[in-house]
Parts: sequence; C-alpha cells; structure tokens
Amino acid sequence: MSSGRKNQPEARPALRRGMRMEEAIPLSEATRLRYALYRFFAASFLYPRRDRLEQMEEAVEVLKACTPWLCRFAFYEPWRRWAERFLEQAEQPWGLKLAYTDLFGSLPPQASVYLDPDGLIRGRLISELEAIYRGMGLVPSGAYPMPPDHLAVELEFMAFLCQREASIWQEGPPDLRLLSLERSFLSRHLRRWLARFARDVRRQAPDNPYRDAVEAVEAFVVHDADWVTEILRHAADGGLPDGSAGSG
Amino acid sequence: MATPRLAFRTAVLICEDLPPDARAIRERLTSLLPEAIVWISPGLCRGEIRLADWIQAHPVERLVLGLCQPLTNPGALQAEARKAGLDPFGVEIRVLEAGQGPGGVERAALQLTAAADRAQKYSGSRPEQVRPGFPQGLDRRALLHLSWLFYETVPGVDPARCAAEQGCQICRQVCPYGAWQWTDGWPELDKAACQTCGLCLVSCPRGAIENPTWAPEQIEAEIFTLLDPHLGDPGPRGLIFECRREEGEIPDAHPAWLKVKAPCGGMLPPSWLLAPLLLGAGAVRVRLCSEGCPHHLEERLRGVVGFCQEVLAQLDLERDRVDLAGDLHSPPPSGIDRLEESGLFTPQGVARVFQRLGEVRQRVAWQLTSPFAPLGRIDLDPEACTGCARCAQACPAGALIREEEADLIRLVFDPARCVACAQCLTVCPEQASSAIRMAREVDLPALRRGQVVLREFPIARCLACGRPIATRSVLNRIEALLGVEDAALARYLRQYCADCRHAFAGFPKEW
Repeated sequence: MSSGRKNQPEARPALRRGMRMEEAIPLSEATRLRYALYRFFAASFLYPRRDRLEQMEEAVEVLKACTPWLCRFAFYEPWRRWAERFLEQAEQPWGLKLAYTDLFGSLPPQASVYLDPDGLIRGRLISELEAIYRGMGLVPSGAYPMPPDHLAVELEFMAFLCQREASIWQEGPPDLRLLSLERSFLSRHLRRWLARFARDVRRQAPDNPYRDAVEAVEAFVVHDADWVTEILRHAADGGLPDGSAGSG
Repeated sequence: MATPRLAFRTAVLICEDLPPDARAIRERLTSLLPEAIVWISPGLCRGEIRLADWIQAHPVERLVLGLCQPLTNPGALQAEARKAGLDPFGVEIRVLEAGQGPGGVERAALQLTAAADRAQKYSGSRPEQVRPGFPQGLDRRALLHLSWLFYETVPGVDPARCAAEQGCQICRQVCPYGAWQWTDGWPELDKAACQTCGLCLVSCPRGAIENPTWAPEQIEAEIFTLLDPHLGDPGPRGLIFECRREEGEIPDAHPAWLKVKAPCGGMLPPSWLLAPLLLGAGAVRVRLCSEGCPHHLEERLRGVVGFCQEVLAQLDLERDRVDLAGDLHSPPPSGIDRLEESGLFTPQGVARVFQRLGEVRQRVAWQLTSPFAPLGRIDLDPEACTGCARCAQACPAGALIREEEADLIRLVFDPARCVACAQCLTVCPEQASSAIRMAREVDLPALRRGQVVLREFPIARCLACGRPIATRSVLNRIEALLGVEDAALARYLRQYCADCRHAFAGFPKEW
C-alpha cells in the first residue's frame, strides 16, 4: 500500500522534540498523537530490520517525551511496558528477530485467520479491505508487498486516516464521515479480531517479547474505538469544539 | 504466623481537613492497618499534592484516599496514578462526612479500613472493560480537552466462563438498554449504550460478566469489614446500600447506619440484601436515587425487598430488617449473627445465604414461591419428557446435568444452582406438552437434599455398532410422529444409529 509515504515509523511531523506540554491539549494534537502511535505500532509488527529498529527507537524517545499527555490515556501502562521492553530488546536485534519469526511464523498477525467467512487466507475479507483502501485513494505498493489484512497494514491505514483527520482539525471540526469511517474500520476490522489474536498470543507465547506489543496494540485499538465513538457522540449532541482552541 | 490483612502494598492518604480530626484518624488507622502506609496530606482535596511524585517515592499497589470533599477532576488523579505506574482503578476514594459527632474518628477509620479491604479485591481490568468519558456540563471549548478526560469501568465477559455457546443470552435479556449485542456468537458490550446499572453482573449464573470496580468480592469485602464487631463503635449496625450516583449525607441519619455503594439500588438481588444480616447487620436499607432510578428499576427493587421481607417472616424475624430507606433517625436493631464466611455475594453463594439464614434461625423446613425468588425448581412430566437432554445441554448454571451409565441416561437437578432463567423451557422440544416445568422458589428442604435424580431413561443401542442411538422415549416419540404408514422406517430408526444408517445407504455423512 502506498500513499506517497514510505512504510516507516515517522512520529516527528506530529510531535516534535521539545514541544510544550500543556496540561490540556486540544483534539487536533490528540489526533496527531494517535497518528504517531499508529505508525509506531504498525512498525512494531514489521520484521525488525536494523534501520527500522533505529527509527522505532527514535520514535519511542519522542513519544516518551509526550508522557504528560500519554498518561492521560488508559492504554498508557501497556504502551509503556512495550516501549521499555522494545528499548531493552532493540539492543539485541537477533533476539527480537528470533522472537518475531518464532511467534508470527506460527501465528500470523492477519485478520483473515480470524474473520474470513470462508476461513481463507486470500478470501472475501481481502477484497473487502482492498475496496476500503482504494476508497480512500490508496493503491497496493510494489515496493512493500504486504497482505492487506496484515496487522501492520491495518494500523498504517488507521494512521493515514488520523493524519487526514489532523489536517482537517487545523481548519475546524473534522468531517463526521471521516470519523465514522475510523469507527467503522476499528469496530468491523481491527477490534474484531485483535482480542482473539491477543488471546492466542498470550496462550501460545507467554514469554515472547512481542506479547507486550500485542497487548499494547490491543489496549490502544480498543481505546481508540471508544475515543472516536465518544467524539462522534459529542458531535451528535451539540457539535465539536474548534480543534485549534486553547487549553480548556 | 497470622495471615497479613493486606495482600497488596497499600497506602491510605487522608486530607488534613478530614473531619473530625485527621491526626486521630491516622493514629487509629495505623493500629488497624499496621502494614499500610498512612499519611496526612495537606491540600489533597484541593489537588495540590503531586500524587505521581508521592507514589513514586512510596511504591504502592493499592491506594485509599480519605477526602473531605469530592474531587473536581477525577481524570487528573487517574493520570497521576498511571504516570506513577499505579492502576487508577486500584484507588479507592472515600468522601467522609462532616459533623461526625462522638465516635467520628472510629467511624472514619472503619470506613477507610473497609475501603482498603475492598481495594485488595480489585484484580485488574481488561481494555474492553474501560471507557473514556468527559464530565457533563462542560462548556464547548473545554469539552473534549484531555484535562477533563476520565475513565470508568464497564462490564466485560470472561469467555472462559461464558455460556454463550450453549445459547445463554441472559445478559442480553436483562439489560434495560440493549447494550449487550451478539458478535461472532459472543456477547459484546456496546459501551456507549451501557449505563452500568449492574443488572447483567448479578444475573449471569456463571459470574462471567465482570465489572472490575464492582465485583461481588469487592462489595462483600467492604461490607464484611464495615460490620466487623472488633472494629468501630460497639453496638448494633445497619447497612445502607446506596446508588453510586447518589452523593451527600442522609439528613439526621443515626451514625450506626453505614453506607456502601452499589452500581444501582435497583439491581440488588435478594441475596445481597439478606447476606449482610448474616455478617452482623441488624437491618439493611436501600437508598434509591433521590430523583428516581434512572434505569426505572424501582418496581423491581420493591418486588425484591418484598420477597426478602417474606423470607424474614418465614424466619420469625421482623420484616422491616430489610426495607427501602425511610426513617433512619432511629438506630438499627441488634444483629442476628456474625458468620466468618465469604462468597455469599457471588452467583454460587445465593443458595448458601438462604441455607445459612435457616440454620441461624433454626428454621430448616420452609419454602417460598415468588416471582422475585432468585432460585428455581424444575419438574419433569414423566409422560411428556423424552429424555433428549436438550435442557441439560442448554442450562447455563449447570443445574440440570445429564449423566450416562450403562443403558441409562439420567437427568439430575441441583436446586442450589438453578437461577430460574427458563433456558431449559425455551429449548425443550416437548414444551407444548409441558414436559418441563419451572417454579421460582426457595425450597430449603430441597436445598438440604442437594442433587436429585429427576428421571432415568433407558437407552436404545445400535444393533450394528452398539453405540447409543437415543433414549427409548425419544424413539417412541418419533414413532408416534411418523404414524403407522412409516412403521418400517420407525423400526429401522430404532435399530441403527445415524452413522450406521448412513453407512448402509452408501452416502457420506455430510449428505
């Protein structure tokens, strides 16, 4: 999948080092934070190449600087656990590579395993996902051939939606259709299979370092679905505040 | 060596303005909870303390806050706890009332000790059991800013205990908001629709629905300590169940009435209203929301209270030992007993509450039928029941059990487990002939007898392979349905099992 960006973690455009940490952050900034987290998590489920690990380490440092914001969210503890485990493991990349192959070789992080109505790896679910991606102007990338139902690709797609939402927040409240698409993608796809995938990982590989990654992404995705629902609920109740507004 | 009271490293932080005397409360707490850190914190209620820094300096796993006024921004406290690595739902907050009068120190210490005991029973939360929210009444600019973000817990399902695969949908049936939906064969909560009334928690016969901050074990632990005769003022005590939405003092209430929060007053099952009487309470009251129950459960509660009063009458006890909160000026009556027993608030403890009440009052031969009875009795019509055992397969409580032995199938009934959910009636193919009948009742002699065999059914075995085909009654029923024209087919069905019939016909099983 390609949207004019490389498939690499890229937290910096949203959250710059040294950004002022106010007690209250407006929603536009929260959306940028979500974007950065989705990108980081997407990279977490790609093969741990050396260059990717370096970029992820940098992303963790940037995100750790956002702790006053991050600790506002319920997914903070699982995220922190994975971030610390990752930094620890990144010093021995061979160990991480072994853990990656060990776990995801036997338990592929692909939605079709859990959701395809016919139980096929390249079945109807793949077509449905491709249609959703194409609907947002994304086309499969030859440079990064990944199955569209891979966890990393689904997380990347959410990052793409968050990026679009964040740019709309600059002008004012975002398009409700975009928020609805986020909610529907989370509830119909990511959230629907992640809990079962996480359960399998816990059962099959309780000591694998990627268990922390799976638990963190599960907590984050469940939270994000609730978060988007809450924003939509407020939008339905009486409109959203201006995204660029100051502290509350 | 005595078992320590606190299973987790616990701290109690109390506001320096805590009535009637923060220092005296600290001293008393130090003697009651010697393992805990007890600390007076200036400015705790005003949010002046950096809680994250404090927790980092004093690593604890559970925290109790004794405040003199409610927190204006609970989300900020949760963020501080999270930042310091403490699970925010492991923090118990108690707002202690002013004007405590004589014995106020002892009562304040008792409430905080009970809160610490409740905190020990918190066992963590899963992501699907937490939802974000923002306080009501914020202006549009302040709305949805992270400084106001807070989290609350909602019910979640433990798939290992859930009986959805057996067709149980009790949570969906009882939810007043239709918040339980079925996805991929499993219950899933629509968090936006859920109002956390707690009805699903107390209705699930397997205790598979859990709200991490409203577990029966947590509520029981708090009540157990509040009614502990070794703590607090001597003399009778009463218990008031209060809806979690209700805040503020009860005007002119006698200090011997102790309050405990529940998800909603209307969700309380009979066993929760009666169990405190076994733990030392002289009487139990329920305080509904002053503006009316938002879930419209008043009628249900009146019915449940009425049932409890009938039970008390059977036990020769005053009916008003369980009642809606009315006049609380007078002190509660003396308690009937104090049992050192736990598990009375869990779904498995319902029958035990009635048995213990009977034992304590030495009334072991009573029976009460009521639409609000939490237990049921199942009867089979020997003429109509064919022994197909669909009821046993569907029973989510494990009250109906199918046992197989030699050439018999046996249907066994355990009255202590039956929650009168009527699932067995729904699946019975002979329901039109009333093959199975259910009554909502508490029958103490039946509870004492325990499991009983309802009926035994002889099995017909396959002439070819020797495996069971079905009960003879099922085959008789099929023969009756087929009529005389198909007598040959009926005979064939009686002689061979489905597998062998398929093999004879030369078709694959899938056909």
